Amino acid sequence: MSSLPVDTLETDLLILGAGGAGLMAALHARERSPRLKIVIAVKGLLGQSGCTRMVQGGYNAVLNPNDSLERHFFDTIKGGAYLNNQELAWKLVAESPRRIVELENIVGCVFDRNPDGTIHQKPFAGQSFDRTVHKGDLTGIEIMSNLRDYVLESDMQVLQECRGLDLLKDDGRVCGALLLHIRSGRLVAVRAKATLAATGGGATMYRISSPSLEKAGDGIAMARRAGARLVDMEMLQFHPTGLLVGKSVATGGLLEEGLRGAGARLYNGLGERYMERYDPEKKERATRDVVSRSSYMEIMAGRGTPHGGVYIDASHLGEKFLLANFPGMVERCADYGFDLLRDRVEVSPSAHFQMGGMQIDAECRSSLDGLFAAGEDAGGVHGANRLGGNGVAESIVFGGCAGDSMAEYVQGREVPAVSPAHVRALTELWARPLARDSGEIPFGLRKELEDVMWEKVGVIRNGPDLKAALGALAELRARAERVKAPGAPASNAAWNAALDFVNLCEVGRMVAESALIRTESRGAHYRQDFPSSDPQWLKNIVLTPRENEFDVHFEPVRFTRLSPPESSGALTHGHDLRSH
Amino acid sequence: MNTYQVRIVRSDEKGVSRGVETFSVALADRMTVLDALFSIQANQDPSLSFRCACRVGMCGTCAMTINAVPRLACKTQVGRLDSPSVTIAPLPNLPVVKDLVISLEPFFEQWKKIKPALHSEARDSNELARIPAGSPYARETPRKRDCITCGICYAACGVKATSGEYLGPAAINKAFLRILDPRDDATEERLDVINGERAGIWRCHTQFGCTAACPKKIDLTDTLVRLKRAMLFPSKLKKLKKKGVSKAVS
Repeated sequence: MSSLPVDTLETDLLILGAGGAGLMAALHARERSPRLKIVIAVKGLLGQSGCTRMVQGGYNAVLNPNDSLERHFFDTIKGGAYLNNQELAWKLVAESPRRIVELENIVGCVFDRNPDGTIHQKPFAGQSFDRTVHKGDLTGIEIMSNLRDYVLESDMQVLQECRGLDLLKDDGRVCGALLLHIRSGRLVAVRAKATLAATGGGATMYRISSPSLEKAGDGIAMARRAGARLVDMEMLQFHPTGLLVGKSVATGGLLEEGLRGAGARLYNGLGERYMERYDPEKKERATRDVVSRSSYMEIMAGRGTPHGGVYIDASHLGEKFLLANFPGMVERCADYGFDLLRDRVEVSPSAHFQMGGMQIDAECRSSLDGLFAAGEDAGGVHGANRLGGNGVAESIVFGGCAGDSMAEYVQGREVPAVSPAHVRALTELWARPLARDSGEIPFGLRKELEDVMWEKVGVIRNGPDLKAALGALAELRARAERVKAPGAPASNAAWNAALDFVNLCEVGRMVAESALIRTESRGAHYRQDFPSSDPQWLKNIVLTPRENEFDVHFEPVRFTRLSPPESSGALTHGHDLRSH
Repeated sequence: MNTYQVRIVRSDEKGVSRGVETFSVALADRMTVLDALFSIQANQDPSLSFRCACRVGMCGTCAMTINAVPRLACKTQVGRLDSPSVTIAPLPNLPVVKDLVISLEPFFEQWKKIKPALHSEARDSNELARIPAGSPYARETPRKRDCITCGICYAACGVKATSGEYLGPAAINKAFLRILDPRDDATEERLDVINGERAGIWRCHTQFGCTAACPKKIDLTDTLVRLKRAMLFPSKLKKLKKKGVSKAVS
């Protein structure tokens, strides 16, 4: 097979992904050791790719003297159904306020203020205090634009429209990555003293999903192939309010959580405010897992809207209030012909965030030497369910942490060697679709994967469906081996779709495998056949890749700071659901 | 179901024009131009290139010229174009990479010239700036900070069409935001750049092209006019910037 040209590059730090986690890692490493060489590879355009950019609501941080780290921690653990790694969750909560100060004073963001000029914080679901820092209802643009500007004025090397294909390894250690520059079709073998995976999760493998479309769980899939340990892979969050826009790719795009925080209501197709039945106390302000599942139950019971969703109604909040506080959401609805000011708008649960990922320690080290993870590529911080506003906080806190610890790690190390045969083998593997004359073009496959994941590994799961999904995923993965991507390697959309597809299949398989193993319901993971939470299951499922399979082991959650209540009743949402 | 004629200005991977190609697309409910492009790529011509990330108006990467107007493909519904066909071309004033993909590099080269990052002597402070509701920054900037660097104002600017050197509206808007920023200490350096004879703000002819085209409805012309006035009357410039900090973190 004719080999593709491979350029080479050496660096101290290689950062895969340029959302909040990747760029914050770059910033922290630079601030700590200004002379380090830093290479950032981003799948799209710098600052304009990934999901931090898409953050609407905001960033949780304890800034008010009447709030406390303990309360934020408690909310996070309770929201995570006690499955969180408590040391990671504590780090999130404890470092989040300092990072807000950095985002403002070093990065240059300004978040919204109270009339007196102090920082404003708004209410979010599942939280005991108004602690969500924000910039209007489009917080991510403020964060990413300013992080981008910091990087632009630095001497870091940014490889735009450049995706990771695989991690490079030598004797168990990760020593960089093989990248594909999408526009030129050239490959780049980057040798790095330390590599960060911060590419984002794989929620895009579902039929209705919210993330940026270029995301494909690349980091998690590459970590699997390199043999890194993965944790909590069954935990995938569905956001309750993704817009339904027919067959448009806009479907799944979110209406932000703050709307429900401010009092917006949900109704089923019959006009019933169904959250009164599922969670009479918190109603629409229950956590995302509860609201999404309740909506899904209504839809499945035939009480959905004409397009298979539920309605969100914010009209009673008044035009003036909505225009002042949620202009971005009003505009988003209007773009697709909906009127948030006066009408009910059809929404659906939308696959949103991957709680699981690489197992990391409090320094963002993965189980592989030389490989670090932050953001959605890492697991453990959020347990079984993430609170709104804790996602971008995680990216910023753990991105910064990864930058610090990588800068520390590379001290006194040499750029590792990589065997040319290893690079050649990977190049040939990934270039195969280009050389095939016959086979499927991969665009349609993605749709099939999305349907399998939505119907069988979705909001509500059961054993037989999960087993069927694993079979279907194996078949899809096998078909991926036979796809073709005709034409030149430069800007080859079919080739890139095939690469995304392989990664999404791998991530999907891990979600389904772990979901089959966890025979209980907890947080975002709901099993029809095991609808209650079981205290015996207060343990994390850890997958260690072995060739094409996994070794599975269980690690009991260590309640180093907070123990779950005695009765398991407090943890279960199963009761409410079965009664309807 | 209605079908729709989609005419696309094509270029090869070296950016060399291949003329216009016409595709027939079945019109679906609430279909956007972006949806039409995905449909063509998946079902008719996989070699079609365009950019997209967020698909809901936040990333700014799907900017293109749609029926002669630069706009975001994800926010443009085909059915609302009020036209029997749609013609799609890459943004003008920027080099074409392939098909509808342009290079934003010239845009960001200008952007970098105005020093977009915060330059603050208090960067290590543990306190957050106090920015009261009535202050110029709080009053003037919130909407103007929603820039998604899509390049549309750069493409819509009549001056930019004939001047490679001109900074362009977005970069000047970013400079304006930093000049108003109560924490920033690099106003003089930015003003030197903006005052530049060939590249600076005085090239702007107040044609409103940028304001009319901005998908985030940022009043860029207002920024430019205010800045020009302030530069002519230095006392106005001083009023734009109010310093002050408050303790928000213990």
